Amino acid sequence: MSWSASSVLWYVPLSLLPVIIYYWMRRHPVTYRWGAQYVLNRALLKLKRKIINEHVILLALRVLIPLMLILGFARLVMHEHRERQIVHSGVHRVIILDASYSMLTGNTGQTRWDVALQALEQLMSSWGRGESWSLYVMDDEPGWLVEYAVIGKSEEHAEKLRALKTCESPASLVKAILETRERFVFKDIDLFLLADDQALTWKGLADATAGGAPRNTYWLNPPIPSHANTAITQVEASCERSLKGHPTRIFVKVKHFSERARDVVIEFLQDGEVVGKKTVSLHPGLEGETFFDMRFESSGSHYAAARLSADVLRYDDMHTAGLEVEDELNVLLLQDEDSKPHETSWKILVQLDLLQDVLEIKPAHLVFSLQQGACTPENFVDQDVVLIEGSRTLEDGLAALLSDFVKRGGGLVLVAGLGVDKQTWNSVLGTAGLLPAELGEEPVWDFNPSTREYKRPGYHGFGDAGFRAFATHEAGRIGEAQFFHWFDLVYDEDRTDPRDILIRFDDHRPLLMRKKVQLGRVLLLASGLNGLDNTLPVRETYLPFLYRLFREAAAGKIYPRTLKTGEPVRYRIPSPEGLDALALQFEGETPIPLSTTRTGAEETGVYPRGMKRSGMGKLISVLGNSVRHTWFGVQGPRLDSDLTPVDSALLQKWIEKWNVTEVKDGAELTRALLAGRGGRETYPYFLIAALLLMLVELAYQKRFTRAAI
Amino acid sequence: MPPTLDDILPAQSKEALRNLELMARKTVDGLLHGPHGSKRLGVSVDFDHHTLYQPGDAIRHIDWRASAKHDRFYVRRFREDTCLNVQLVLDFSASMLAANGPHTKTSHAISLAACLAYLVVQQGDRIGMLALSEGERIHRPLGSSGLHLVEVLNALISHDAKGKDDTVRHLGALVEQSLSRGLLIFISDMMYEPEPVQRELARLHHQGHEVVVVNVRDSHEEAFPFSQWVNFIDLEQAYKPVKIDTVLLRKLYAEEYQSVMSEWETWSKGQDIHLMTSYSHEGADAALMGYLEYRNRIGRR
Repeated sequence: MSWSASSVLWYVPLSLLPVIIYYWMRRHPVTYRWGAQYVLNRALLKLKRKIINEHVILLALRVLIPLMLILGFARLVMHEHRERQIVHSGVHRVIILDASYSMLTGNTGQTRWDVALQALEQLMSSWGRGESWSLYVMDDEPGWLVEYAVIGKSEEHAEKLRALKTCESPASLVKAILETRERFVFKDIDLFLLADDQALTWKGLADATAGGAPRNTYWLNPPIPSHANTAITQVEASCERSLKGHPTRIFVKVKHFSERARDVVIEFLQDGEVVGKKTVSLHPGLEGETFFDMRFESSGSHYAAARLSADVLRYDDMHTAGLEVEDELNVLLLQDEDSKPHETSWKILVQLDLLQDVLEIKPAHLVFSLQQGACTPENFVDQDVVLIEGSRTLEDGLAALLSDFVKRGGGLVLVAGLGVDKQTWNSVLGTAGLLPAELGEEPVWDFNPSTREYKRPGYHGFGDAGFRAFATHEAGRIGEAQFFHWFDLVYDEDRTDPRDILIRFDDHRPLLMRKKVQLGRVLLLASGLNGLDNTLPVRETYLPFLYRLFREAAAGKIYPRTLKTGEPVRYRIPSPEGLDALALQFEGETPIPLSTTRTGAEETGVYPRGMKRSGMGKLISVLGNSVRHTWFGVQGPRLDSDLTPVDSALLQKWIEKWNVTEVKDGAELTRALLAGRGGRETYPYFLIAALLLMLVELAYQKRFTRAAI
Repeated sequence: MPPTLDDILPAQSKEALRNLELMARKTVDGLLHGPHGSKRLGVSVDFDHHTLYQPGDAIRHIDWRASAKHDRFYVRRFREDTCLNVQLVLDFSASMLAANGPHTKTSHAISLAACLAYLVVQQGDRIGMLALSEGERIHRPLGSSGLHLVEVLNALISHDAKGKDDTVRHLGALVEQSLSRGLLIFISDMMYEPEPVQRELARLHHQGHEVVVVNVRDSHEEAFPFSQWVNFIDLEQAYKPVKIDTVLLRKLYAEEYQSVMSEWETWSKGQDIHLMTSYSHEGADAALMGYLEYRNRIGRR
């Protein structure tokens, strides 16, 4: 037998209050001059023989009522009924629940998360009504989900538990313990840790255990078969806007979190179907990269994925990337009207129909005057890329038109060939914010080819996946091309993302740079595209280079189809007039209607919150009777993939210091609790007794009282 | 401060009582001629019976028609109308001093007595007063003049209730006096053993008096509105206090109060004696008007 809230017993003397009131009232009566003494005497004569007994009985009833209430709230526990319920001497219970993805590890179909939830449900159903508890959830927004709640209806709590979900977050148990220490009288609580043994979660354990220990600590740590985990960390398409029938390279990064090397088999999925497999040897703790070329035979939205064979943690075994495949690209060439023949190698190539036949790149307006007023916004409609060679008549009005074109997602390729006046470019295009870098020094032109200086492209520093094929010579040996004329591109190293330097010379100076201007992008080539500036046009790598150049420039026409977690989902609606509905559906979730915003003639659907977890989603556009799906992939940072367990010596020290009871499942936890302070609550009986005594007292008093004569 | 005449008999009470009359329900013996029936034969228009002529009878009372028919002289006899003698008997024991607000039972009894006295004198009948307290008997003989009324009222307001109840002894003395038959109005709070008082009142009733008992009640005494410890000061027992937890007593007290009052009601019905109940916080004239209306409604016996 024990008391759950023994401190309430201090109020027992209060039950004598009725006796004190009785004697106080007796000593301080109201005085009244009474005329009906004859009747009073008659009544007293009848009452006298039992008045003492009546007083004693009434006083006893009045004393017993508060006494029963106090004993009820003090909550007597009978230990001979251990099998019924678990109570803890009225202490507050704090549950810290790890809701990170690492809890999804598991054995034989049941994850640690399932075990934790089952244990939590069992634990709460074993508590008596009125007991208090708090729940701290370590998810992407760690905090108190339940604070000082009192156990009431079990359905309410079951509902709360069912609503809990895991998420990709760096759970910090130490932070949770410190917050608990701050919020409660730590030594008086019972602490239940439902968390795995991931070292990341326990980082800083020494800080958390520096203070005193809670009254009791229980740690639910379900065992898992292995801590060796492998995760796909990135799937990246060389370009998210590709051409039908052309190979699109999918780069995959995979990381192995273990102390032993391992070969992993990666499956490549094209629109959900396995199209290839590759085996990658991974060193412990290192990230490996591989690629696979996919060829999409139809235009429209597609997706590519990489998948690992199942391991201990399933959620990080796959990533997806979204792509848009086009039938053709439209390129508009703007050149000086009086450009010299040797400066127009591009023109010759076009005349040879190479672009149409080989690359499905459809050039338009092969020669167009840069003269003032010759260009109008209508010239840029339906164009994916505008290429500029020369600059003698480049002026601000055209720069403004180009700026507007790029901001709306167009691609601008600036080719700084021999005919370019760098002063004009730097002032006109630089002022319009269209230059990725300023044009700097250029070598003095040597008319003698035998003594002419040259530079070659290097095979390193390909920041973007789109041009990475040159690094492995698969798109030709670009490093063998000689560049006789070039501009030194001057850029701010602190402000420029290295990934925007797409190709470098062998002296590490940039050859091709990129600048993203709102939706669109500008590519600046430090040299020309003709045979005078360099030997590129006569190399086998020339067409692959052009293809990648235009593909990269045209990629801005669509919003990114591969997103990070939390990154807004945007979708440019191709034909807003016929759109009936637009919704976003993430895998395993119900579709969400998307609001649209209109800017000029363009309409965009936006989901600003983005997705909280990795996976694949689709935008559903309903146009009359047809439904169009646009796929996108969300790739989280794999914060929870490293399952390396916390140092066992450190853990053991903590277990001994706090006298932690470590259990592997809910049943074991229940047994551990029952072995401690189990028993049956008796407070309902006391409360019922108090109620009955109140009724008896009321009835007893009624015997002597009458409302009116 | 003792009440004045205007206090106990205000102008509005006089106005209210002006058109009322208090008629005897039984034959009474008055010295003066009046509107009330008497057992005596005398001058009246109410024929009673014939008697044989005796020498000395007035010749004008001979019924010539009846004498001619029977060949003897018959004289007509008439029932005499007389005045009403009203005797007010007031209980002036200390229990009558119990007050509920500004009104004591005594003051209410005096107001009732004053109204009755005014009414009686107003209709030309005679009023007498007897106030009974321990060891003292305030008496005013019968009289019908306005001056007598003032005397009676002055006697009422110049004395205060006091001492233990001594009603039985005083009523016994009244029985022994064998007063001429009339209306005896007994005003009391009934806070004594009922049976001896009832016995004496019954004797008066059997002597031929019409007895009317006016029970003056106090609403507090009836309701017993207490729920705590109360120190009751007994007004008749030299202010001896009785301390008691009233919670336990309320129901029992109510039962006893009802029992005492029921005894009086049962007794009055059995004796054909009117029992009028009047509360001390009510107006005396209103209470009296209600009773007189009732009395006129049921008529003469």
